Amino acid sequence: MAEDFSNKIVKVGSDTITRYSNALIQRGIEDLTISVQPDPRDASAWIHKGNSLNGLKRFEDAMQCFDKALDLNPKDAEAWSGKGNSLHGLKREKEAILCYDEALEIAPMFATAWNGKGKSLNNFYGGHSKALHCFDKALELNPRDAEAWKGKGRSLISLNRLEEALQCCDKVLELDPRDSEAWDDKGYTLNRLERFDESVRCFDNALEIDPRDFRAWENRGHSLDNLGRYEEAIRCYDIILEIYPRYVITWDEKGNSLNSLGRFEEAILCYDKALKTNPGFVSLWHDKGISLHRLGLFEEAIRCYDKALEINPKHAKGWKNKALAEERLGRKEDAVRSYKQFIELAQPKYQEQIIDAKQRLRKLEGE
Amino acid sequence: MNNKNQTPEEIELQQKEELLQQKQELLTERELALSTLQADLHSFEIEYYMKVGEKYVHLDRLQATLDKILAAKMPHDVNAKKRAAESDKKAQQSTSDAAQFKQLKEDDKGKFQATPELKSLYRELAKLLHPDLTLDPEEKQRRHKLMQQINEAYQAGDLKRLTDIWEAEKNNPENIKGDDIGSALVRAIRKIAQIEKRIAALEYDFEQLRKTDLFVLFEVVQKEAAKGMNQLEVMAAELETRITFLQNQIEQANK
Repeated sequence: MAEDFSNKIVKVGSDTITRYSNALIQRGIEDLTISVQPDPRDASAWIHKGNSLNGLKRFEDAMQCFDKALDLNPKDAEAWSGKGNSLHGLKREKEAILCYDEALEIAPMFATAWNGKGKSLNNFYGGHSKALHCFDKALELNPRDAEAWKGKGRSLISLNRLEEALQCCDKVLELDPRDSEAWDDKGYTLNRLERFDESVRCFDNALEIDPRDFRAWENRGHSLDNLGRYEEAIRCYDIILEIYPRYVITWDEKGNSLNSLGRFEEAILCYDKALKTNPGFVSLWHDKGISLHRLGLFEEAIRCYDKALEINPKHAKGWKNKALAEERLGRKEDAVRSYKQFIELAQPKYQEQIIDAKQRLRKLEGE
Repeated sequence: MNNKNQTPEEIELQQKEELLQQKQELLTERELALSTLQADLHSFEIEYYMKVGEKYVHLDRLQATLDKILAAKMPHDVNAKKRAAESDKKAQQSTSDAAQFKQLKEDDKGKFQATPELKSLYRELAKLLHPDLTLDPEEKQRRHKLMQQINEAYQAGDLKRLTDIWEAEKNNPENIKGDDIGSALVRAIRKIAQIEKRIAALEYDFEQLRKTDLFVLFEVVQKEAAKGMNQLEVMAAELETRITFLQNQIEQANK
């Protein structure tokens, strides 16, 4: 009969209701955290304030508090770790790792610092196996550390060890079934494992807990796209775009779903909208090209492919689609050149398309 | 304290009963602490709203008024228009948040005071009627409801209602002593397990409560109060300054 406090509204007694969170309360916390002045000689008070400011994402201010604490006691592992968290929040990962290392030298059993170091390493290209080691350290100290399981799961996703990652997500959810991030991670992992139906259900859970979780809306859209449920996917993207109308990637994704439904004109509107915000985004030009291509507007399509290839000349799919359009227009020489470019640039995973391109090339050169 | 003439079963039973006694005490204290915390938070929320929350709403409304005036003065300034729309939205949001509080204020029965009388009566009732102290499923169900009523009455500071429950239940026939030692032992062990489970659930509730925003705020204010600072008053004064400042600006803008 555990009461659920996380849904913010809890019945106390029969006729009174207490809210455990609301914007007016959050503002109070914010103002209070900023205005309460710690005793200048009390290191732990500075650390406490620093941690609160970190929670409010005021990382610069938080860092100052930790520095004050470290002035008082340079051997305070908690202050080092807190400073690491601030730097991690500011995406200054290298400096953050140095702070965590200081903390861990003073206190090698400090799980929070292991987790922090792991999280910073996870943001590094190629840091994932080192991160994994950090989370394992934290889990050695406390096997019920949800934060560490979550971090470990993310390292494993990046290392493409998806089945193991899935187990980590389940561990987090076992410890706290209302952790929406863990539902996100699980959904994402299942998506990568091409278990789309299950993945959609995970995102549903995440969104029930936190309807403003945009990562979940976006990934839910991806899974629905993969299931061919394009209309529903578009609804997911629309929710994001309503709040972030300048989110280029989501416009692109919405356009692609519309393309899949054969609604090419509407798709083009999406790409155009996003291109206004970011005209240097390769996929937008390429995908707009596809819409035009499918509408039979080959000249216009080629102009878009060219734009994409101007920004990124190594965009293999751009070359292939350009070649197809050129072939349709009877521009054989151009097509031959574009197919050759594609074959040269395409990664081995496009095996089928490479074979197709080679066949077409032979035919063109044979004629 | 063991009597030489006791059989091993009797010794075992005595030990288990002592343990049960301890667990029962702990259970009562944790139930009382959770109920007290909930009531404290509830009172705190109302106090916070009256002293601080209302002022945020006032502040937001003034800001919205000011931005609207400024936007009207500069009809070609897109940013001014945008600002006015944003602050209007914010003011609406805090007004609707405040509406939830208002209901609370109307239902308010005054600040919760955990008086020694209330606490000791709660303890007695919990010892007598806690649902996890019985093994009979039907009785458990009945006590579950009773316990809810006890918590409600306690949190409302309703001493009379607690006394009424006590009067009605004090001769509750459930506490009949067992027949043979074996079954008494089994009963004791089962009860201990049941109580431990409930204590774990209570700890989880505490943990969840501590994570809430309201508790975070409550804790800071309590800590400052221990240092002799009334943070809610300080915040209110600060907000009052901001309100006066905005009022002046609106006056200027209207000129």
